[in-house]
Amino acid sequence: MTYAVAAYVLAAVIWIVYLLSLRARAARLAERRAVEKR
Amino acid sequence: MTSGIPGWFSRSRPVVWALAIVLVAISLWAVVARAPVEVQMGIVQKIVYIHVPSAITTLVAFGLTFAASIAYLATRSWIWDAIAASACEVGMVFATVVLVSGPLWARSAWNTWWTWEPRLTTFLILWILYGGYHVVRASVGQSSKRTISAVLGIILFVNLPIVWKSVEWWRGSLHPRSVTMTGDMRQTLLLSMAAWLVFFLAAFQERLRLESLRHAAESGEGAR
Repeated sequence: MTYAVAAYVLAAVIWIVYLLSLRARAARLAERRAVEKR
Repeated sequence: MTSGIPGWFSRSRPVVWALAIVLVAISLWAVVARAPVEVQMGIVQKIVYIHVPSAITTLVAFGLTFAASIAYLATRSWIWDAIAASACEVGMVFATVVLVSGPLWARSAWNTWWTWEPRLTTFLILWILYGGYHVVRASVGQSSKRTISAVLGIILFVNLPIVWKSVEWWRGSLHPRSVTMTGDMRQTLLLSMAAWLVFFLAAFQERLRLESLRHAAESGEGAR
């Protein structure tokens, strides 16, 4: 039971971290573009 | 798709995300409530519903990297390079899920966290080599980045059939060649596969948008 729950929780953590990193990279790029446009 | 991301593809992003979240939620409900507990292994066998779909999605993602790499070398259009790199990165995340969920299952089923059996070993090699794709991509100069990435995306594809056939080609595999499942188990596995493939598509679109933003920043064009 513990191993099964751990597998799903770890998978969720991996995905959340990855998707947050995507969001942060996109925000950084948008910010860079805004600065360059000014 | 030679000059950029089609408008319909960008506009479908929220719909694909919504579909992915709904399907993953339904598949998780099916794993908990519908799929029966396997008699021999017990509840730990339910790891199969994330492990196998993630493994298959990894192969689909790296297959897409291969196809897009060929398309890039043939057309020299940035979008194919963006597709190859995006699919490869999202594929790496799925491969990481496989490598994390596998040992948890192995500890219970085989009484060990890790063993150097053919499928585990070839999959770990696959993960390291595709990780190398990103290291090389980040290391080489802008002018040669796309070409070198495309060549790597094609060469590394050789690993996929090796992983797939490893249980047949080498002795001593602990992974079964085929698995017999009851109706509810099979349906839950198929549902999970569909859910994680749609989730891949959603994450891939998100990653592709990042490449599009990067391309726009470098070329001074508008991004979709």
